[in-house]
This record gives sequence, C-alpha cells and structure tokens, in this order.
Amino acid sequence: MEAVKKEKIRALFTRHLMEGHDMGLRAVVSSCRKSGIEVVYYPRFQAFDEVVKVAEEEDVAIIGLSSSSGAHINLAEGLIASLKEKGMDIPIIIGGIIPNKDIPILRKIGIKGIFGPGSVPGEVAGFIHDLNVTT
Amino acid sequence: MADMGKGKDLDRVRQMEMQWEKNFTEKYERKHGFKMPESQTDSGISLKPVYTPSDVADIDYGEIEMPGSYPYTRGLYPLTYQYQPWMTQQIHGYARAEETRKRTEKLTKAGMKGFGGAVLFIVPDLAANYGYDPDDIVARGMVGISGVSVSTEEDIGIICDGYDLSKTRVGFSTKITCLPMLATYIAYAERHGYKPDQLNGQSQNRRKIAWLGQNMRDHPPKDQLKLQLELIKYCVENMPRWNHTNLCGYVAGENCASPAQEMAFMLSEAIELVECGVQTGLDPDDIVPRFSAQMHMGMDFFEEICKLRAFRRIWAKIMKERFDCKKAASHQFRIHIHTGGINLTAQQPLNNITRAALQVLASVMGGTQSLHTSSYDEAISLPSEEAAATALRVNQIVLHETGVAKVSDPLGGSYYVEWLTKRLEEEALKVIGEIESRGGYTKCMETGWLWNLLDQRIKGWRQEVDEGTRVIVGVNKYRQEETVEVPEFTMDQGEVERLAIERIKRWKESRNQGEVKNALKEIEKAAREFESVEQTGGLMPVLIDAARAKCTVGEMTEVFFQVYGCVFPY
Repeated sequence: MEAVKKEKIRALFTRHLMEGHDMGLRAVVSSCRKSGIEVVYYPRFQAFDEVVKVAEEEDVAIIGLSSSSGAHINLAEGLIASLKEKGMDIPIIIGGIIPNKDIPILRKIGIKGIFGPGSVPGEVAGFIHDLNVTT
Repeated sequence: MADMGKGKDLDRVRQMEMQWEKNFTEKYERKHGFKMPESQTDSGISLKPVYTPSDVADIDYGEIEMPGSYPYTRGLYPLTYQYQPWMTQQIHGYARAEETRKRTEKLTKAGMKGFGGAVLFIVPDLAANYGYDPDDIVARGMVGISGVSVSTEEDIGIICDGYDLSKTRVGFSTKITCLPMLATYIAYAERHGYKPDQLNGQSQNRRKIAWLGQNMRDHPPKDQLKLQLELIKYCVENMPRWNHTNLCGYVAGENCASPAQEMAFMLSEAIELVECGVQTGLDPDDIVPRFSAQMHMGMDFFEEICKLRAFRRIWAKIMKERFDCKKAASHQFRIHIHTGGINLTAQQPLNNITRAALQVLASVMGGTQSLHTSSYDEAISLPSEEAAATALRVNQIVLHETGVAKVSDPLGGSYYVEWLTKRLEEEALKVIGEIESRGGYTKCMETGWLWNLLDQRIKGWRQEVDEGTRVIVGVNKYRQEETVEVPEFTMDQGEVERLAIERIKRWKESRNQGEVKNALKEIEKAAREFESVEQTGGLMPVLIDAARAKCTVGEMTEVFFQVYGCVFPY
C-alpha cells in the first residue's frame, strides 16, 4: 500500500494550577507524542479562558483535561461553558481519578472520552487517532 | 556475626556456603535445568539467594548496639512498643471545618491517638494549600476538595475549640502557607490563653519538595530557604515543643525515588538547614531535636525496614560527627511513616488493605514512632469513613494480634537485614555526596538536577509496569473483568464552597480595614528587607501581628508572591 502522509493531529493537554498530580498526564503526553500527535502542553491554568485562548491560538482538535483532586466535574463544566461562550466546539477528554459513579455525569455534559485509574497511556493516543479529527 | 565471623569460624562458614552453592547448583541447575534469575531489591541492589555471617563479617561486636544507644540503628529508646505503641496520626480534612471536626472525632473514637493526647493532623483544601482564600476567583471549584477549607482563626477555632492545646498535637499540612498558618494558629491560641511555648505540634516547613514533586507554586528556591529558616528561628526561640520542620521523603518516594534517594533528599535538606541555621545565630543542638519527618513506605518489605534502620544510623552520625551535636535528642531521629499512595491500585481496591497492612508491618519492624496508613479507596476517591476506619484497624491488628510489638528491632542480627542496612547506608551517602558536590539541596533544586533524577525514576517505573517486569497484582497480572464497587466518598462541593465563601466574606467585613491594610504593609516591608539568611527573625512577628488583625492566610501568602515572585520547577 502506498504511504499517505497525513496531517498531524494537534491536541492540547492541560490541568488546573491546583492539580498537583501529573505523573499520569506526563505519561499520556509522552505516549501521544510518540504516536505522532502534536501535543500542546499547558499545565497550571488558573482560569478557563486561558485554556480557551490557547486552544484557539494553537488551533487544536481536542483538549485533554487531567484531574486527580476530585474537582473533575467542576473543571469539565467550567471548561465547556467557557468554550461555548466563545462559540467553540472542541471535543474534550478527561483523565485522572474519576470515580465510576461520575462517568455518566461527565458523558451527559458532553465529555467525549474518560480515562480513569487503570487506563494505560497508550489508550488515550489510540482514542485520539480513532476520533479521526485532523486540523 | 562479627567476632564469630573471624578466623576459623569464618573459614567454616565460607566452606558451608561453598557446599551449599554446590548442592544448589546440582539440584536445581543440573537436575531441573533451573537458572537462578538475577534478583534485585526494588531500588536495584543486587541480591544473593541467601545471606550468611560472611556477609556481615566486617561488622564488629564492638559496633553492635542495644536499642536506645548511639547510633540508634536498633531504635531510639531502650524500649520500643513494649512501653508505648506508635502514634496513629491519620492526616485528614475535607469540606469545611465542621465536617473535618466530625471526621477527627470519629477517627479519635476509632482509636487514633498520639503519645497521650489527641492528634489534629489537618490537611487544608486545594485552595488553601495553594494560598487562596475561598472567595478568590482561582479557587472556584477547589474549595473543600482534598482537604478542609481553612483560612482564618475562625476556621481553626471550629477544628480546635475545646481541645487542651498544651496536650494536643496540632499540625497543618501546609507548604507555601506554612508561616501564615502558624501565625494564625499562634493568634488563635493566644486568644484562648496559651503562650507559644505551650503549644505542641508541627509545621511542615518543607516547601521545596512540594514545589518540586507536588507542583506547588512557590518563590525561587533561595527565597523558599529564607522563609524556612525564618520559621525555624522563631520556633527555636519561642516554641520549644513545636517541631519546626518536617523533613519529607514521602513526596520523593511518591515520585519513584529509591530508598537511598529518599534518604538523601531528607538528609541533604537537613544538612543545609542546620548549616544555614548556624548562620542565623542558632546552635545545631537547638535546631536538630525539633526536626520531624514523613518518610515513604513502599512495598519491598526488607529494603524498607532497612531504610528506617539505616536512616537513624546516618542521622546520628551526621549530627554527632559533622555538626558536633551534644544532645542525645539531636542524634535521635524520630520517624513518621506515610504508607505509599503510589502502591494503591484502583483495580481490585480491597487488595490495598493487604498492601497497607504489609507496609504497616514493615514500618513497625523498622521501628517507626508514628504512622499514617493510607485508605484502600484512595486510588478511587477521597477516603470514605469506612475506609478511613479500616486504615486505623490495620494498625490495631498489627499491634494487638501479631505479637510483633513485643520485641525491639526484631530483625536485628539477621545477616540479610544487617547487610542490607549497611548497603543502604552506603548508597544514601553516595547520593548525599553527589548533591553536595553539585552545590547542595537548594542549588540542585534550582538547576533541576533533582527534578531530572525523579523524572528518570518515574519513566523507568512506568516502563516496567507497561512491560510487566514490575508486577502489580490486579493491574498487569491477575486482572479481572468484573469491577468491585466500594463505598465512594461524596460531598456537595458546590454547597461547601458557597458556605465557605459566605463565611470568609463575613470575616473580612468584620475587620478593622485600616488595621488589615497596615498589617499587610508591614509584612511587605519585612519581606523586602529580608535579603539574606543573616537577617532572619523579622518576619514571624509581623505575621503574628497580621493574624491578630484578622488578615487571612491567603492575604498574607499573596504578599510573599508580590515580593518574591512565582516560579515552577519545569
């Protein structure tokens, strides 16, 4: 088969300033980069409009949010609302310590992929490639 | 061991070993085609399949000590748990002070206790930990999460009212807010008739490792060091019962540091703080006895036991030989263990009770003074009430049912344990030497050398787990499809946040605004004038004045960020 040069997928990975745990996120970022995804890494946002601004400027196809603190629903809701305000519709995935009971809530508010404890970094890269969203 | 390992006896032992190896080779290799795999401790120290007196032949009888004598390898005191059990200091906190007080009461009722009195070992919520009051815009969604909302004397009062503060151990797990929180506690205690010298408890005061390993915002490391020294000097001069600095190996351990590296992080920081403390005019013998510690407990049973034994020995030698400390208390390193969070799995969560039990057992065999035992649900959510109680029960079962507490240093004299203790001592000293040759702990924070050290360990760990060479039961081996549901912790965070904001707004309205403004200005002035270590001593008094004027922890912390700025390690 002839090799087709695909355009690179751009993904933004981010976490709130107060999300101290980032071993998982760093592993995901590194695994995505290895799989050919162009990663924009923006740790430590203090307000959602910072994330929206970066997403717009970097023209990313997807946003990955990391949360291990228990604030994942607040963070997801906040980010979705800020994107909406700007009229932007970028799929969001979330990873970290996400209790099972919260998965339906996150799906309902529009989170596209959820990667709780036990997910392996490669799953996220696979999911992003499968979404087949290229910029 | 020792003299028995000299001359004729040692020859006999070596012959025995050779014969054993011959038998072993014949039986397993020739008959069964079994090849002995290369074996290592968790941190990579090569192991033999068995240890004999020849492995400890270089230890003299003359060096063998009883528990309670220098260099304290076998324990700090003549009697260990025969006299009193280890403290069960379960760090806790969530929602508002009211809910946390209830959790304290439940844990106390379930048996949580210190040496004699109650323990209030409180973790502030994310907002407070990062130095924001609940009404700050950055704190939206973060109030009451991962800890308790505590920003004022009023919050502290709800947690502490009614406790005899001279008999209760009070500690706030603070990093960048360490000085403002201590000032606020002092102001609270003063209003209730206690002087600083009566207070009993601890400050964490180990912000650098939180900055490096927990993504805490903070000032450049050299300014962090100045603030640490300020707190030390105040406590040494005014609070003789207060542990001024909690050396933290835990965060290093959670970032995959090896036992030797963990020890080196703690010891390098202690060395630097004592050296700088001398520059502020203090005597090492006044500083050193009030260091406390939070060490990590991993899963390699013997290596972790040997870590505690080795640490006590290195500490005693450094404090005596390098700093010429005379007081026995300066040589005696008191250990608090926090069982590993990194070892907990979300899969098959009940397995975590077993992991915690083994870690508690190792801590006790290693002679810890104090323990926090992680709850089995921590990889899933904040600890539920049931899980928090079970964590305490693990301690009570080890104490009352296993009999391990009846004998001091029960593994002392084991060829393997004595050999490994010595190896770990050597390994830790090597890492300390490397850090010192690169300019010391703060310098290695600034240059990123320590960060890289941990980053490599983390990547190695991840790779081993992914490849399956590091077995984690339920994760990469013995997986099961059906999920086990555990009772999950829940709280109405939105409501907690709303109430916390209301409360702090009332607090801020109730103050004399002129006084608040002046007090914050005084902090700014003192912080700007605090240019070198020699000038230590001017900040804590103005912080206490500010706390008396009802300034909040967030407001005081913010002044420091204005003066010293904010940096991150990477």
